Amino acid sequence: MSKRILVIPGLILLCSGLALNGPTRPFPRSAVRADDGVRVIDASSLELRAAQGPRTDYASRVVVQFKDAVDDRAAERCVGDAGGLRATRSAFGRRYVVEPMTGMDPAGLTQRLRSMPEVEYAEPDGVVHAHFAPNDSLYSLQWHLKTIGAERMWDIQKGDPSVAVAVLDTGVAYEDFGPFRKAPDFGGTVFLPGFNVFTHDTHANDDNFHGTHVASIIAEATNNSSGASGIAYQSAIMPVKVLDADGFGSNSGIAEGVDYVVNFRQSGVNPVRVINLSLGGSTRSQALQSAIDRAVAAGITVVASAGNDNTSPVDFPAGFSNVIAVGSVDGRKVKAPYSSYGADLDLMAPGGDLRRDDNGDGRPDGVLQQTFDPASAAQGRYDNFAYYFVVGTSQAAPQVSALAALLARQGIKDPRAIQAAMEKTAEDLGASGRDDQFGWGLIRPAEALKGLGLSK
Amino acid sequence: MKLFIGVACVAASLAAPLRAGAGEIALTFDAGLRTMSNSPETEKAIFGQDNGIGYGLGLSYDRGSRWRFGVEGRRIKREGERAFAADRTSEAFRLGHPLTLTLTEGLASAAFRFGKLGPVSPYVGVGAGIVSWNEESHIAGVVESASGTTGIFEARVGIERQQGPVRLGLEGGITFARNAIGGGGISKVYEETDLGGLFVVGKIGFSRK
Repeated sequence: MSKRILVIPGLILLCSGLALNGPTRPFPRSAVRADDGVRVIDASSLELRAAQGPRTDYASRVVVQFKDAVDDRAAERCVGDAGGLRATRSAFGRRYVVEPMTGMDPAGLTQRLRSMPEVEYAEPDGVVHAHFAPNDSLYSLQWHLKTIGAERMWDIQKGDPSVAVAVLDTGVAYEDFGPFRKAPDFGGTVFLPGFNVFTHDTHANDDNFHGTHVASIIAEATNNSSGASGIAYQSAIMPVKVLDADGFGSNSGIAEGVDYVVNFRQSGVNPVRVINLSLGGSTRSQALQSAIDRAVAAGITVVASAGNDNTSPVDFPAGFSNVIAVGSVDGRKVKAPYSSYGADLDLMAPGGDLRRDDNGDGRPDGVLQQTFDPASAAQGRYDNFAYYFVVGTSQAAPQVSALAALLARQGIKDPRAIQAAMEKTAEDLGASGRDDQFGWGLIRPAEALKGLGLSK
Repeated sequence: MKLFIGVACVAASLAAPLRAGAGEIALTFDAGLRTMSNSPETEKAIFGQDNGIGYGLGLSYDRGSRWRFGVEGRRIKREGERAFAADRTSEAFRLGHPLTLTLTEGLASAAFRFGKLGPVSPYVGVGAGIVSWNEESHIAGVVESASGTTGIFEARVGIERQQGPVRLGLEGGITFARNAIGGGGISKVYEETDLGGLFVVGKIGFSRK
């Protein structure tokens, strides 16, 4: 696949029925080379080192700053009296790094140094490490990942194929089948057997573009020196086609797709812990509500996009109380102009605004992921893959779904607890506390994945 | 290991004759199980079924045949995991990030001895002092810690047997360390503030007039 970054022109869908929350803001189409100015750094060795811990026992050392009047001999005497084995002086001042004698507690050494009148301060030498940064060539253009602090998130959790996200959408370019082709940057992505509610078979191929882009946000192959990065890229994806080639579907079709997910078993276990619904409509459906109730009762977290009409209330299914409704912010963490809002809004994620370039990379601030050219798809060609900036709450919701999958992998089994973990650690935006414009605020994955200590 | 310490001390305490002496000074070592049962949900969420093990050292003085006064220091270490719970009625999920809680206690104590009851001498006592605590979590290569100091109160009952200069005993009781936690973390979710709880320890001491 040639590396191209494209901006999909606004795909405006009138939501008379059920439609995907696609991009609503037209932007002049442009094509620029993907790899211009992108520097690739192999981060895989850093990742391995982070997992193994530091070679040097930095945590056992103590940093001590002596007062200006203290000469080297007096400083060394203090270090020895306090129990230090050896001390190394900084080239730039009276700061020493002290290694304790064998078996000595660094905390005790710190306390003894602090008690000395010659010492200005003493503290344990903290350990720092390089954050994992994937080497995907377009990673630097994925501003949304920086906005949610993805590198620290990946230090903690990258997902696992035993935890899957079902993407109920226009399908996903996940297999070579008939005219359909597997998207090139799904090389390492694990897919579960899909389902197509229109044909009632397992071939949930994308004939629109939208579902492939959404699935790529969650689990595009990452750290493979190519393309873009996905958030929960070691999680599995279950493609379920519930929207047609034009991005439309029905409440009954969505319910059918949800029921497929709930009843799926692999070796007696259902690995799907999250359902992503980047879609919505204005009609409250009992059939869909019941299907979602069954999913949540089965321990599956359901996430839906709020809608792209800048209206209140949010669309359904986002409006259901047991569905996490996700709105969209731009690169400034300001509510995107299209993002719907209201009392049912729960969380925000970066969905972008194509009119802006807040990170100054010369590109419009859409969410950059792989998919195929929708114009070609309209002609029956589903192999014209490229990287596209797309905006919308459809792009925000899968970021929350990916985080839900990471939390499930980290150990939180209950959908209510997963939602609470995201809400309680969200960055409060807008009015203090929960509000109708931002819900609980912008997700902070690393904070959510940390969980809670005894008292902190 | 934990059970062994308790059983060994009980057996040892029942094996030796009593010799209570006025004016004796004793150095005592104790070891045993210490829980955080005053904050049961927090304890269960972070530490699961693992009890803490504590070690202590004390110096005591017997005034007359009934009263004993002393000072004690103790260190308790517990290993657990960070966790998450949606609210105080919800199940807690442990997240795999190792968490270590270390308590360092210093107490002044007083005990009243009831005299011989068969081969042992039962007693009741109280203690008061301070506890310094430190919580340390390791999250994907980054260490996060929290610490504090608060007052501690302890009530205890025990039996003791003395043979020559050696004292053997078994002691149980409850420790209160109120308002130590509860400002954040899982203890805030469960609205629990006390680091103390029930304990049972074995003791061995060496005395001289």
